Amino acid sequence: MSFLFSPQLLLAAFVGAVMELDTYFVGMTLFSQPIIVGGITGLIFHDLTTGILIGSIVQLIWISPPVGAYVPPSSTAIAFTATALALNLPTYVTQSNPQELMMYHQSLLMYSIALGVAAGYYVGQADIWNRKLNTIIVHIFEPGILAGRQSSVFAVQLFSVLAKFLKDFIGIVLVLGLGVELAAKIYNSLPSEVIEGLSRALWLMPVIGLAVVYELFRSKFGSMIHIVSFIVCYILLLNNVINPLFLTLIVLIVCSVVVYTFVWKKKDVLNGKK
Amino acid sequence: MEKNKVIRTRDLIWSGMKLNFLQASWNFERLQNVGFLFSIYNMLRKIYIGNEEGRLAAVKRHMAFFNTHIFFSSAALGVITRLEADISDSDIKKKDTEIENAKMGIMGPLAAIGDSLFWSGIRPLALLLGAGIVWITDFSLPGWVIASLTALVAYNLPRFIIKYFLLFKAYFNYKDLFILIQQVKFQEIMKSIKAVGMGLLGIITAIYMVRNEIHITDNNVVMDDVLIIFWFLVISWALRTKKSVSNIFIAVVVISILISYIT
Repeated sequence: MSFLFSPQLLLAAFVGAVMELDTYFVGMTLFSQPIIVGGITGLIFHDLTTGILIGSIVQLIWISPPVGAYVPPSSTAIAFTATALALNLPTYVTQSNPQELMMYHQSLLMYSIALGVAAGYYVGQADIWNRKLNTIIVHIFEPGILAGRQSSVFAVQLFSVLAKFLKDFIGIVLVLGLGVELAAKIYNSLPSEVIEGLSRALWLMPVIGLAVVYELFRSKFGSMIHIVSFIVCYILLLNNVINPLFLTLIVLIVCSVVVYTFVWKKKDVLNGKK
Repeated sequence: MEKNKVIRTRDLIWSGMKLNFLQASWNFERLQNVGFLFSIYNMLRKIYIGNEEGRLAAVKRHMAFFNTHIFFSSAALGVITRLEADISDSDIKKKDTEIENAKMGIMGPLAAIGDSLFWSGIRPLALLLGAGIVWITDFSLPGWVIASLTALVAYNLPRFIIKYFLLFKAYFNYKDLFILIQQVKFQEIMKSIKAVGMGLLGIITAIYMVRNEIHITDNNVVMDDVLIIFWFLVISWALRTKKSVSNIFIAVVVISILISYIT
């Protein structure tokens, strides 16, 4: 059976389209964030670890909220497409040198993320079409709404959500169903320098994410906390002194105490409260 | 029965749930208008029971432009429902103007507070916490489940509390609502969220550097760490000069490929 009609792809497309609804149109509960989407897509294609790895990298890079009229790429679509491609491409990709398996694996992950970004841009732009379509749907049902029919209000909501869902479902089936083999053919034709370069780029992806979060939270006070936290944790973790999960808990408690002392208590003292 | 007595707690809860669909039919013409009407409709039916003309006028009113932050929209819903019930129907034009003015007056401030608190504060902090736990637990299934639940709770708990608190406060005591909002120390809250986020980022950066298994130098860990810090500073600088994340992503891929051709 072709991948285009496999139940796995249809399930993935259904889950992906439902999750896409949560990005903006319904709820915005965070279920659609890459860290969750990556894991779920990984589960569908039987490799949770790769899904979580891609999801967490994409999450950090595209953690910032959209500002103003700028339409960002859909981070949900990036995580979903990148994970699905990373887990299906190996079937079609030929490795010229088995000794460089690790490099090929890394470059394939990076290649999938890059294609995921392209898909994310497409979905971001396609959401603009959805919003234009919503205007038409509202116009169609407006006479009914103004005549007092509650069913017309419900119909506007239903058809808008349905249009978004169907567009994403069909988009995912077509992009993955037809795109995996094409993407593999392109990958197979890449020069070894490009493969090596993609492998190097993967190494830098988490650094982009860390820098994005740093800039999002940056303040004089916050930067000081970041430097102290980084140096202390780096030394402790390098010498294997403490369990990282326990260390995270300590960092959160210490940060909360510091914030209480220097942000809230200071304010009370200035206001004359003790 | 007085009109403001016909709305019960369950009506408000039901409308609050329907606010999850506020942006379902977001359109470029009047933005969230149908989403807002969809949320308030069940209460309009009760307020205007036996008054078809009043209900149609209210429906027409709420087909006008509406746009605010999705989670803070509950405050607008509460206030507007209260005004729909309280203002007399004797002069529909006057009622239209009063409600329209109230809507216009509260949409902007609510959107500003919501954007700042959720999009720049609670949301990235919850996601950073989730991503951090995933890295700490080595991308394992239990770690991912804990990370996902932590992020979901850290984000959705304040979302739920704020949404319903504002809805009930706005409906039952809207005059005090604005005094209350003014009293909330948003600057301090944001400063606290950012400081805790930075502390968390410190440990995540340390974990990435200590556990990083991809080496671009010949297994020279110190050189790798120096390069990570160098690139971190370069990318931070690029972000500070308003370069978009996507452009930085493309630049990193292109530079990495170029380096491979050179070396």
